[in-house]
Amino acid sequence: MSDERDRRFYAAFDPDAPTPEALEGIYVSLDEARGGSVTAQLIRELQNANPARPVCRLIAGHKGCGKTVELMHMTRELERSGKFTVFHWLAESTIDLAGVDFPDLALGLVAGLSKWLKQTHQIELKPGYFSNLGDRLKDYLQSEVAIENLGLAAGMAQLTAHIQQSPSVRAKVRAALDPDSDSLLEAVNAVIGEAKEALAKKDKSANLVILVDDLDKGGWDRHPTAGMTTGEFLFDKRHLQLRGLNCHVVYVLPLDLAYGRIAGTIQNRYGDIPLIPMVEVRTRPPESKPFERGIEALRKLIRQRLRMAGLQPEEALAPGVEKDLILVSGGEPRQLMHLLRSALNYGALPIQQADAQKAVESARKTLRRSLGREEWGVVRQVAQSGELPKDSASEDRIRSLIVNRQILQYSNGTEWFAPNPLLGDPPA
Amino acid sequence: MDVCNEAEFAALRRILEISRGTSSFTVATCNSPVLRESLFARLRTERIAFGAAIIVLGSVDPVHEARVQIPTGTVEAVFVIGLDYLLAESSADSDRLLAVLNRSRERWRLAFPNQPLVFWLTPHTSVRLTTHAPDLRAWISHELEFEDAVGTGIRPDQLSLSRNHTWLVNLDAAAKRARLEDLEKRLSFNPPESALFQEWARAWEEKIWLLSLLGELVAAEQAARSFLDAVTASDSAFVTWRAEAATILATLLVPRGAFDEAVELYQKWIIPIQAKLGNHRALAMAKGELAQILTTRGNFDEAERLLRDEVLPALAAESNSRDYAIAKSYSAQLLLARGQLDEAYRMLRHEIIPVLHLIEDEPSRAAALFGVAAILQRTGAFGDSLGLLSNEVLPVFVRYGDMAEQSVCLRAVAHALLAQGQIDEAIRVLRDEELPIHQRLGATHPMTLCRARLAFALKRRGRPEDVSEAIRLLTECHRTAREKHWPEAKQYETLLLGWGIPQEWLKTTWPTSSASPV
Repeated sequence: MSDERDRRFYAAFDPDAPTPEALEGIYVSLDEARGGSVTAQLIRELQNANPARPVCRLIAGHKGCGKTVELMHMTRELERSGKFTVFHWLAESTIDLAGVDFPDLALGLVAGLSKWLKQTHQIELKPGYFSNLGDRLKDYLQSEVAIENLGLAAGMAQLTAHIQQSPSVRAKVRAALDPDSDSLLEAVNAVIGEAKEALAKKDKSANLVILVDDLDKGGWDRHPTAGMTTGEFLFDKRHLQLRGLNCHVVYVLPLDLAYGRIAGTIQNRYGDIPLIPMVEVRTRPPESKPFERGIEALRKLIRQRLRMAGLQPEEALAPGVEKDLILVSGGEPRQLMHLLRSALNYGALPIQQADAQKAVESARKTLRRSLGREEWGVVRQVAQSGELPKDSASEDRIRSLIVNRQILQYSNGTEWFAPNPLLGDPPA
Repeated sequence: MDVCNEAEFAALRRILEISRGTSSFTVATCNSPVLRESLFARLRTERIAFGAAIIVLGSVDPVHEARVQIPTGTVEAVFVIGLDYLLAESSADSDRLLAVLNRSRERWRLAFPNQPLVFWLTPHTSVRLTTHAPDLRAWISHELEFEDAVGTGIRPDQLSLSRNHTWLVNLDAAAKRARLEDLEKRLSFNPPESALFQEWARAWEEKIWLLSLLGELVAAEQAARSFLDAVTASDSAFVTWRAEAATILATLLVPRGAFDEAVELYQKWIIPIQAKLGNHRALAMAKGELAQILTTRGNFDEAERLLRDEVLPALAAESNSRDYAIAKSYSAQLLLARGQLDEAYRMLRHEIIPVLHLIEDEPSRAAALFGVAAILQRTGAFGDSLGLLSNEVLPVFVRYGDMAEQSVCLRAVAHALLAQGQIDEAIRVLRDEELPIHQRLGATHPMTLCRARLAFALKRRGRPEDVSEAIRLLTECHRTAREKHWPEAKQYETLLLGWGIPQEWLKTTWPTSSASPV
């Protein structure tokens, strides 16, 4: 019996993004504790936008802060209004994000969109420009994909699967399609146009929104020729193509670009970069006092999942454990899930203080291990001021600390930062 | 298994239990393949149906590799091993693979949707994953840490400098230097706060091994002395590290012949500390190591008494087959040193190797077989020795990516070839197989020893160009040994004088590789 309860608890705190169906039961709005809702702002902007003049926006956030869940929530809210049809594309499921550039993104998007239209709306698009693409690329793919015969959805799925296989194939395909980028953009827009028409015929909104998720998982590699990372290249040098799609589109931006040397350029090209912050569970440093509203929001999230698992809070968590873990998670929902799961490794439900502490210690070790003296110096400064140091010499170090979640970003009116509480005290 | 490992093992078992049928990610850091294999063996006896995917060097796509090795639905959990070699700084492809792994979470999940996934990594690779693959790291729900405090295997022919540090040994020279720089920064915390003590001490330990591997034996010894001084002055809560630091220093002293000081370290520090801590296993192993040094020093009776009366009975009481087998290998080494070759052979073949085979400790078994090959060479059975080395020993070290052990094995192969008169092949093995390993690893000391052996082989072949090359090589060896204060300097000098090289040549710097004094 207790094993069965433990398993239910374990499954309930799966840190992976839930399916859209499961989201309904477990979604808890964390907006108030995050200092406002980024997605609500985007929704308002889309609602006010003219469908003939599509909006292109970016969104960023720490790993584990809940970007995908918020985009799923955004999908639901937009579709609920009846004024939009939303395609939430998890790009990683279709393309390899290593060195991603516009050609592979475009092919992946067409593959993802056509598959989704077929599965969700029973719409089969015509191959058009893409009908002879398999033939054009057959030398690089070492295989022929007859898109014309297979249909756009099946054909593009096969084509992108071939492209995914090896970095050298991707590089060759990119090189082959790169000179043709404008035609490729036109072709993608033709597919989007056809999709809108088909949706309208099915009495769905033709006001299409594409949410391009996962792009923050790539872009670290050096671009072979441009002297920048591939992420910088995509969002900076390919901005005309990214912004040229004939529907509303929101891209997830790698977090380091939001803080890196070209953050200003990106802002000029796409407008403000809204960031999904951590839930504020402590006030801004140096006070860093427990912040009840944030604690309550995450408590609600835990309780909601416990309810779905058919567990009472007292049979799952010993007194004090819930609050301790919330505080040490730094308001990062995924980390909280990890800690709850991990604590269960050291003892059965209800989770005891000692077991929770073991989970914290284990996570702490990993987070501390990669920090050297200079990094601790930055962490100390952030702990005292709530701000990032201004010296440009530390820029890379700061970026790495943010990307590795050793420094967390918060927002309540103004943006501020704090060391991840999991780090514990800096060394003497 | 000690208390800490026992607790982590219980946590691992529980993870596998409660996450059965779901996808989850765990990192288990483990500093010893032998310990890891023993944990696997224990899980097997408990009938936990896991599959281990071995990601080999040269793998392009670890997810695909694992998926091919473990078809869906056949196991309840998937263990991924071998990533350490792929992700080592010395691997040319490591940056690309780290980038691939960083984005691989979704693919692992799709490949194994109903199985918990455990990545078995060395502590060093775990840190690399944290800094270079943060996206994957962010999905790790569980972190476990297993530590083998004693060692990873046996080398019946000598004390191994590479114990617990295969990954460190395998770094190329540039990566070793870069790592040293990194460690220097970390060692700026002195004395460390309690929470960081273990990390600090491990950084010292790594630094000393790196210096030693790079041939900076004097600097390594100095560092080992500083480390011992620092831990001696530290909080008594870390007394176990005093024993560890003393062991490291003793291990460095033995190859340069400072046996008395090494023995004293065991008698005055290591053994009393382990006795005081009541750590029976560590105490017995320390006595075993002392017996090994006594054997090398020629105190055979004392070594025998220690092994027979104290080490073996204590380890037998601990019921740890592997430790017992290791201690037995010390006895075999003693027999070998005494010239009791038949008895040493029998002990290795019938008492030690079957146990290591049974507990599936492949590297230790290969090391024991190396001991058998060494005995065969001493009895003149060079053909049999060659067969054993080529078919059963070398492939294991290649598979485990242990380049230092490979080089030791190649040395023995070359020796057997020379003994059989296959001089061309011996020269090829030394020049094309063993030497490149030392060059890659930046292992100056073994590299010089290898060059000296190559010089002998060339001199023996005796072609005119061979002789001048041999003299050039041995003169270089002599110069390096003299500069670095290695004990072999004197031997090289004697040999060169014997080859007719005037004394004054040896005191000057050799001008170019083509110029020869003869």
